[in-house]
Amino acid sequence: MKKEFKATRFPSPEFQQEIQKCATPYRGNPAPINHTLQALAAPPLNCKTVIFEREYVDKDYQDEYAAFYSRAFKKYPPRAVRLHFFAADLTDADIPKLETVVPPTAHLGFLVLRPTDLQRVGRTVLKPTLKDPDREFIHCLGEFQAHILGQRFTVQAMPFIQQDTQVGACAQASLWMVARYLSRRFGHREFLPGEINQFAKAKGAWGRVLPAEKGLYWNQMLNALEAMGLSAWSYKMDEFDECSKHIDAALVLPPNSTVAEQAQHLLQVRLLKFADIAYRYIESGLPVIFGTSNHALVGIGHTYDYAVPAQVAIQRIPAFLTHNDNTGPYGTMPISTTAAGLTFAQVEDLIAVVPMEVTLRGEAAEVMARRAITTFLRFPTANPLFPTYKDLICQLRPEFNALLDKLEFRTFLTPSVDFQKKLRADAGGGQFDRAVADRLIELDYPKFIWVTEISSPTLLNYPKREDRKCLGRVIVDSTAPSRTWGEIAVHFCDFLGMLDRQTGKASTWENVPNTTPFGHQVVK
Amino acid sequence: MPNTTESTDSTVTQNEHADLAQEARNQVNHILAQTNWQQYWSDVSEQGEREIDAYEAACARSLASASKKFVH
Repeated sequence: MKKEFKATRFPSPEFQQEIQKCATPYRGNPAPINHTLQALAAPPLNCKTVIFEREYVDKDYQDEYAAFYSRAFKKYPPRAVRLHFFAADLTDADIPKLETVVPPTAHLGFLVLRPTDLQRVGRTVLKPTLKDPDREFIHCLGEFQAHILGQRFTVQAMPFIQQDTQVGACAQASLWMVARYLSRRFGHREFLPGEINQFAKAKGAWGRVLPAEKGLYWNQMLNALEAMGLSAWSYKMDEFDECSKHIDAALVLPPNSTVAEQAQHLLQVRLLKFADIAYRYIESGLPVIFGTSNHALVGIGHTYDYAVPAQVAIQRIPAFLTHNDNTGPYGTMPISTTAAGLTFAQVEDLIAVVPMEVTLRGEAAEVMARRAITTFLRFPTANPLFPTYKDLICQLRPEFNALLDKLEFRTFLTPSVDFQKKLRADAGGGQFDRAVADRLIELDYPKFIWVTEISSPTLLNYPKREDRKCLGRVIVDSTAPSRTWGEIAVHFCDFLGMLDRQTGKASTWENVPNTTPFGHQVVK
Repeated sequence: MPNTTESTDSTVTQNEHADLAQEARNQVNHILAQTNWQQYWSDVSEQGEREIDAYEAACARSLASASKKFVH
């Protein structure tokens, strides 16, 4: 028996004919496959050829098949069809020698079609469809491979799947996407759809496990994540009115506002506070599960508006980028109370998923970092010429004077080895001071650290991301209890301070002239 | 020789700048050495406590409502 592949031009009548054979009848919601094919035809992907791989043994579908379809009266095929996408003109004759005729960047990913009755889009790994690398950021990208006759193709992607309705609904699809991505990011094992459904329903008597078309309670999703060895935190939008005072300070309600204006203001503040929480995790390359009144989807990136008048970092984020099993991969969800369609204002709950080693929440880490900076700026110097450190900074670096009254804080989690690697690269490339880099590299860190970058609108208002700069950063231990001194180091406005996490001993800070500002770090 | 004179003037100015820079550095180092950094970290910790408490209470309430939410 020979493995069967067929190359078709895309888009073309021949492609339509082939896909009709393996994707119909396509009952249920066709939006994910339609949107995916539209995205493939358009820039930046510009797909030219689709190779159909028949009789494909897909481990996720095999698991769904074993859990449900093999037991049904109707005979479902145990194998699937996989579509490989290429931005190159190829024929059947090219298939055995693809490695030599296809440039590595021309492989766009793949999509599995399940031979089921409903919603056939299975495991899909597709290159991001983004057009502007300075304004659009997918932070959750893992490396995935596909093989064609022993030829390996690699793609950086966030995995996508559509609910099949029998082994999983939107909740299980979201859990699968998060878990599959994290398996690549942190080297966890892969979890299969049937397993995820079992994990969700393992605690308590929830009735029968399959079919799973009715979805999941929010705490069942938390149970599933815990069973997969992931740490999950749940946030409910309307519980955070008393938190995130930096957003209250930035969005002051004008005096004499009408009742309607007050109500709109409350919605806007609540929306930004909730988005601010999600943003820290997404910025860290950690997917966040968004829950509307009845649907779950996954936040994986964001857009960025460098020129918007902003007082807090979240105001620069016009939209989150999502994987929504109802509509397809790499969609846009505006952070707006007025935009049409599905917006972040409709998100009521979210689940942030972090590695098990991380115990300090992002918002607590940022509170620590903010306090470290605001306290430093007003801390007395005991010198009447420069009564506070802010005065001293303005004396040493007069150009910072205009920046210090409008500080923006951006917090993300990163593996400490990646942080050290980046410092080494930046110092090697002359983008960061070598001596400070060495001082920060030699510190003893936990596996993950929270990094808060402190910037100012003037330093961020640049179209190119490599031109956006920050005045400093605070590094916080991601395992620190929230009420302890979790800060490890502060490098801000040419001052460098460190705190020994083991002894709590504070060493004298140093002045390291002309080491700030420096470039933003983009977590990938 | 104007060039030599100019060069000597420049060297003098550079030396003066270096002296001033060293003096400024000494002054900054003195300020840093006189600062009570242990007190600084105590202040940082105390000031963040109320806000962290608010987040923790909100997260606890969020979790309590998780069993009522259903997605499909």
